[in-house]
Amino acid sequence: MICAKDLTMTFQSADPQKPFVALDHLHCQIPKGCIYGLVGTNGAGKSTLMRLIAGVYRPVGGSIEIDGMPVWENPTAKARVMYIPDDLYFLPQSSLSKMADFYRSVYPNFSRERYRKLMRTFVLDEKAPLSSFSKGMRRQAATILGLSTMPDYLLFDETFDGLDPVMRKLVKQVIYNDILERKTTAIITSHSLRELEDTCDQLALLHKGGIVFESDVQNLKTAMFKVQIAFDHPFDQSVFADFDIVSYEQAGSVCNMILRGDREKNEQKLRAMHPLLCDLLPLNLEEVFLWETEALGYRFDEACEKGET
Amino acid sequence: MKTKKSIFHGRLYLEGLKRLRVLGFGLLAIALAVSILVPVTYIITNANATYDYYEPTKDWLPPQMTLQWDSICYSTLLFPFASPIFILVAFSFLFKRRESDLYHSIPYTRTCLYVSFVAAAMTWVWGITLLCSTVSGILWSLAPNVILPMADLFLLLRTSLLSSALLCGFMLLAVSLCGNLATTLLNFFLFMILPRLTLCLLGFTLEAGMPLTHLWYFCNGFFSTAWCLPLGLVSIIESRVDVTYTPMLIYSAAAALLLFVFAGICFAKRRSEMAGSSAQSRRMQHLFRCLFTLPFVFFTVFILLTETFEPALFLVLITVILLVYYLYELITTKRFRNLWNATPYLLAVLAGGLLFAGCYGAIYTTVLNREIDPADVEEVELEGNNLFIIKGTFEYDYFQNCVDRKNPSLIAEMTQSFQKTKDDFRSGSYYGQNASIVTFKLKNGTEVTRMVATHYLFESPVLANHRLEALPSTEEIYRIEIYLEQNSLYHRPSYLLQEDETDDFMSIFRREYDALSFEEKSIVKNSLSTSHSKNGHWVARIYGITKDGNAYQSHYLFSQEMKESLAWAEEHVWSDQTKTETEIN
Repeated sequence: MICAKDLTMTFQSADPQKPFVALDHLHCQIPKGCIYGLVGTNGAGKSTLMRLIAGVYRPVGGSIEIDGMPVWENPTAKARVMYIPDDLYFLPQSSLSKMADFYRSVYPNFSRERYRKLMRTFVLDEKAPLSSFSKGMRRQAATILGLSTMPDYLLFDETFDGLDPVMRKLVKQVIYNDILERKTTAIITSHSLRELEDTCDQLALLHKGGIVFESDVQNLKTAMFKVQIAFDHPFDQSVFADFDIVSYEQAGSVCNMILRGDREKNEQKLRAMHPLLCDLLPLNLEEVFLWETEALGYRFDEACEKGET
Repeated sequence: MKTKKSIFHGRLYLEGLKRLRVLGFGLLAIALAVSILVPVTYIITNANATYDYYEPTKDWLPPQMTLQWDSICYSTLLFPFASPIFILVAFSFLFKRRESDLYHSIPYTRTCLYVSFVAAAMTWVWGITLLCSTVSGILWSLAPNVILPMADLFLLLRTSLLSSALLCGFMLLAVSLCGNLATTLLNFFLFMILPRLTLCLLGFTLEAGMPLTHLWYFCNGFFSTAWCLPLGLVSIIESRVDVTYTPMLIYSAAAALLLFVFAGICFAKRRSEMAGSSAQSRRMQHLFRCLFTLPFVFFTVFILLTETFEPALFLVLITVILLVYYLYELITTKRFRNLWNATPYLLAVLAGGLLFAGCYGAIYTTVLNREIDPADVEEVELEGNNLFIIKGTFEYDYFQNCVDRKNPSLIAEMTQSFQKTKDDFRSGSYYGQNASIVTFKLKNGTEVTRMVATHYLFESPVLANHRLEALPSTEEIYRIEIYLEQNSLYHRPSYLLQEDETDDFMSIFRREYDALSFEEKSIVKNSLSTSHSKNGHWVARIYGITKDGNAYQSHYLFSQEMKESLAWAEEHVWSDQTKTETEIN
């Protein structure tokens, strides 16, 4: 389990008195064996959190532990983590096989067998210079290398960026297999909720250095639903006083609502009101996030409009 | 899994070696080429050499050449200057965020990463040096008619290895404290020269503004380039400074060790997020920028304190300071906006200049106000370094061995001379270039060392008597040359006395010298070097060894009153001259 307590990270800014706060007293617990998705706008602190988990940065305040061990300057903890950053780096003039040699020399658990297996899955030329690879191919190469180190915790920072749909599916499949086979924990950051929707077990929204929302994906998906209902007599919102309404819009005899709660129970209660029309529609993750975070005061759609989400 | 909290790891070390292989093999090729080409060229050119001046007989052997230590292997001598590049390349990952992330995420402690990479870099540096020296040594040993001094080769190697270590130490400190290439290079030079340069500038200022102080001589000794091996190497190459100079070697080794340890601590505490930025924090950036500007400020203060004030020059110097200050910021951060933020810290630079001037003022006042009461003085010591008594002469050794340093008259005369020198300085009639170092050892255990005008020392009867009273004994002399000083530099008739003639000559010379008046004796002993002798005078140059085993070389003028000695010399010089000319004809 990864456990962050009161985690704070700052960076220097032009004004020494006012450093830029990337993470502000963040608390989170990432259980073992799950796929944990981190979403948030640029500068929300996703990559900083990743680097802190990987032991690249030393926290300014608070602590971050992996299975009870602090990560900073702890080779035992760091050996169990593989960080695949957004901005990939490979040694100059290196090929995939050269990089594999490098990883093999620095990571004690590097598996040559797994590397070979993954090389068969992703068809890449291991002798070609990595500088000649496309962005997507470089991502594949980084995934191969990262998984070959046999880590317990895999940190993917915007990993699916630059991958075509086929390759994206393949990379996801490889990660799933690793999780199933080895009970690996994966943390994936993305700007896109749709990307994480069908991948993650848990999701967290990071905003201004703190987690503003965290939930299980399945619960999240079923916890809210859209209702379209119509009656043959006049009505208003007071009719639905027993329901947990997140949003309510009425146009004549038809109203659209977002309800929170158990879907079956709510449906039974609505049918009991003998409506002319009653449709219950599932929400996608982005819509759930939109409503949940709006309730917390975070305008997720504003970020979408800015093209950041 | 095995915990790797060790300070060194073989895998990382090998990785470090691999990281440096392109640079390593490239420089190895160049260094090796130099090491091979020099002896091989000599061997080829001398293989068929003919010796026109010698009659090739059966017993004749060609002349043997003993290699000078600095000709054995140029690569060994010059390679230390390339060694910091290895450190720069090994730790270049610190300058890029992506690369820094990779190396900081691998499962090793920072100390382990530092030690392993430093070991890898030093392996390349020292390996290349050793290999080139060995190759060069082997090739020279195969060269005909060449004597390879093996001891010199090892001394050269030791000096070279230490120099590399010291230069690498400075670079390690720079890479550990800075975040990009420009800042690292600028601070590498800054760390290397700032302490020495500051002290030298203070010494220069004191020498020019307060010549009574002895500090410049201290600076010149301890802080001269000979004390720092990399700088010393330059001196060695230029003027063949002794490579075995022990204080230089100890200083360099200790400084290198300290730098390695301190840089290691800085590296372990370094924030990895500073990769790519100029310094760890804005405060550090301000500090580095101010430190970088300080030498220019000190120089300006030096000019202001020691030269007549010229507004134009002052303006130029101020412009240079501002240019250096702002250019540093611009080069290292590449942001014009930072120039404005940097401006308030110019006050720190100004404070540095004031501190420098304050140090000078404090020393100036202390020296000028220091009174010495003869009653407080236990003994005096004199170091005649110029006109009074030259080191390495018979008179110097005689004086150091025979003078009673606790003699109250001598103490009173020295105190008085010091007081007169100070009075001269206050009145502006002091000329510091004709001064000797006098150390007053006080009864309270402290020492006061001052420069005292030499002409006042000449007035001291005790010193004059000591200086004039004796001539070297015959037993101490191993060679006497007599020559006539003439206008022509190319024709100076001389005569080297035979062993059995020394007694003869010295008995006449001593008898006549003893009979001379004080003034005449002064003329004889005033001939401190040939350049001081008068045209047409005979000069005796005497080489000897004192009772303490020190070699000396003294010059004596023949006074006009020393008629018998002159006649003896004239007879031998001219007869020898005639004999030589006849032989040539």
